[in-house]
Amino acid sequence: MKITKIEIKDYQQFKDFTLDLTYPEGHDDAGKPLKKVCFIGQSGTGKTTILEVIKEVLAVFVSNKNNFNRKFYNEDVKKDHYTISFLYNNEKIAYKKALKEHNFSEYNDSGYVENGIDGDKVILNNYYIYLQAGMLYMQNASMLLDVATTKSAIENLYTEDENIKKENAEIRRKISEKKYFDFLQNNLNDIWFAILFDSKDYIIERNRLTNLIGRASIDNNIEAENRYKKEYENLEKSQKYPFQKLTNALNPILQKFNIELTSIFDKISDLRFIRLQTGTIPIPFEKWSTGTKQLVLSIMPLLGLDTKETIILVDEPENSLFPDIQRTLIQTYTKLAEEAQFFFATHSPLIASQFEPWEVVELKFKEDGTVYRELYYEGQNHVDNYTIFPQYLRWDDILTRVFDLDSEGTPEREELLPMALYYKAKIEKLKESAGGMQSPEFENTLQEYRKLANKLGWTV
Amino acid sequence: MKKVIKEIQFATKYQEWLAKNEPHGNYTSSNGEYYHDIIAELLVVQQGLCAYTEHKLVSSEQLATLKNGFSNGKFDKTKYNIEAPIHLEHFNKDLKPTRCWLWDNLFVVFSVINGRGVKGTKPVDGILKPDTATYNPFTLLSYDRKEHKFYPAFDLDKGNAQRVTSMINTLGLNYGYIVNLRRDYLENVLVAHSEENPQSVYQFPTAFAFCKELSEKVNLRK
Repeated sequence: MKITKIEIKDYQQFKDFTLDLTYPEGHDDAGKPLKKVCFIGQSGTGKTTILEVIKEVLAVFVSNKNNFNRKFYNEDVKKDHYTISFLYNNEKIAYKKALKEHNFSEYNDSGYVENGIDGDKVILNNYYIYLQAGMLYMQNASMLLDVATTKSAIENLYTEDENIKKENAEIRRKISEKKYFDFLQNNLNDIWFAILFDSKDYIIERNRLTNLIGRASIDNNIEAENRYKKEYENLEKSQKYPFQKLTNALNPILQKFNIELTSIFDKISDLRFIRLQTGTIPIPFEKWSTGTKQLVLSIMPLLGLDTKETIILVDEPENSLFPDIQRTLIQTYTKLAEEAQFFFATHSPLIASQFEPWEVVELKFKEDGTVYRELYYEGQNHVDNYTIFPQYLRWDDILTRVFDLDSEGTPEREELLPMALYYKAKIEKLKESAGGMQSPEFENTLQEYRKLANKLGWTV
Repeated sequence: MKKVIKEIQFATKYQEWLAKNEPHGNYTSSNGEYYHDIIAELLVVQQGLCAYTEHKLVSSEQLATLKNGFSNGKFDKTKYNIEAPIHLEHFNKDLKPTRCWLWDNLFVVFSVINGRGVKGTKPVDGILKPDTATYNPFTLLSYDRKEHKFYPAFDLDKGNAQRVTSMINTLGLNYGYIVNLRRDYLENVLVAHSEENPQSVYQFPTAFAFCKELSEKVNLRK
């Protein structure tokens, strides 16, 4: 299930607002839902509001199917608030949230299916993840930080007690079936439990195969050794070990600041929490930088959940992260959940630069205070008609052309620049004149130029 | 910033009102009687360009309609056809309270220049005033093709160069938004331009002239 269109008739700052979320004509995937979307715009234009709208609609989908199926949009409705269209098994589904006539305080959740498909047959298997990245670790990492709770939960995983084992399997199954994760409300415990549970099985299996390979080798049983090696290889290929995925995704980034995650745990009981280290020296969680916590804890849920056909909302993924890390962050997210549909909201030009122009939704205020989408194409919505390409712009151009920052630098820079160019031109002229370079004027001008050029960051 | 020859051709009623020398201390002093007359006449004398940045504000078709909107020296407001973000600009804001409708102090500019705190109420220096008799952009300004920015002509003395620099910034000639528009437009035009294939240039003509001159110098050196 992926979102193809959002229409907001009359809700907060949105009036008759429509977003087409499909690839444009001329694109290989023309007409199909966008794989990722980036909302940008001045504070207050409604980036987070749109994420909230999606979140609310999806919450109804997954938690109240009957409500969705049976309350069809009808004449009682006074006015639409918003409609979100989805593509589900190639069928279009629309959900409307509306206000009933005569009772302005009562909302009517109304769903209908456009192509005649029976609403009762629509099975919504998909959950979504809502990450408000900046707040994540502070509010929701309680289990991970609380040593006592962690210890007890993890010790439960190692037990040989069959009843507890069954209970754990049941908890894991329920997590798999959960369709809706909101990390502003739910903490990360469920995800962490799932990762530990899956890792534990992997580590048991890996240790078993390692022992068998070793024993076969000692016994000089080449046939058995090769068989176990093959099994070991298949286990690795299955990529069922979340820690391996996590380290693959994050270590290239973390290594930039001389730290790395380890995925190697010799004993199952070592498996407590993500281990970060400098060289071989572990760094306790409370010593992690804000950016590191932000990065690891935001990415982690993607490993503990099946993200196929999932809608993932991420508000301000750039929070606390150094520009160099922001530069590749979107790729890090999307690689870990290749079949999901992502919605990001950002104030970061570096984040916006990782999107194709049709994936960027720039929101702007009209004079009457309502909001519209700034189009990046002229005429028909065709790839050839786009005029802004964030992926190909310089960082400063993204600021001025995409984020509408009007000036190229500070007023101080603007003041200085024409005088620096003036001295530069003067120097060129003196060079051309006979004996000009030997004149005192040349030396003075050169000195003046160097002073300004140095401040402007020009190579002198 | 090209020179503007500010001779009134059409708004003769406004001209007559001005000649009476009646007080016009604020916008309501003439009851808005000549507001559209002034804008239409300025757009004609400015050839549809922003007086400072030379950004195109109206098309030649719209200009023709504006000219046709005058009858017996008065502009018919119903003929006003401008949707572009323009602003009737007082060059010297200090004159606004006492001489609000003074022709010599008025220009039409791209609203970005006035509306985003670029010029605002900053003090002005007549050294860069496009309608003065002595103003010549080619003796006061020069243009950097790489940065697409104006700077003072190299043969000005330091004092005058600083005065020109100050006005370049006050009038928004190097304002980032404008620089991007200018760069995009000129780079496209200049790529196609040659002596054999001269391009028609509908905006930023002064910057274009400087760029063309630079290109020719480079060609001469080859």
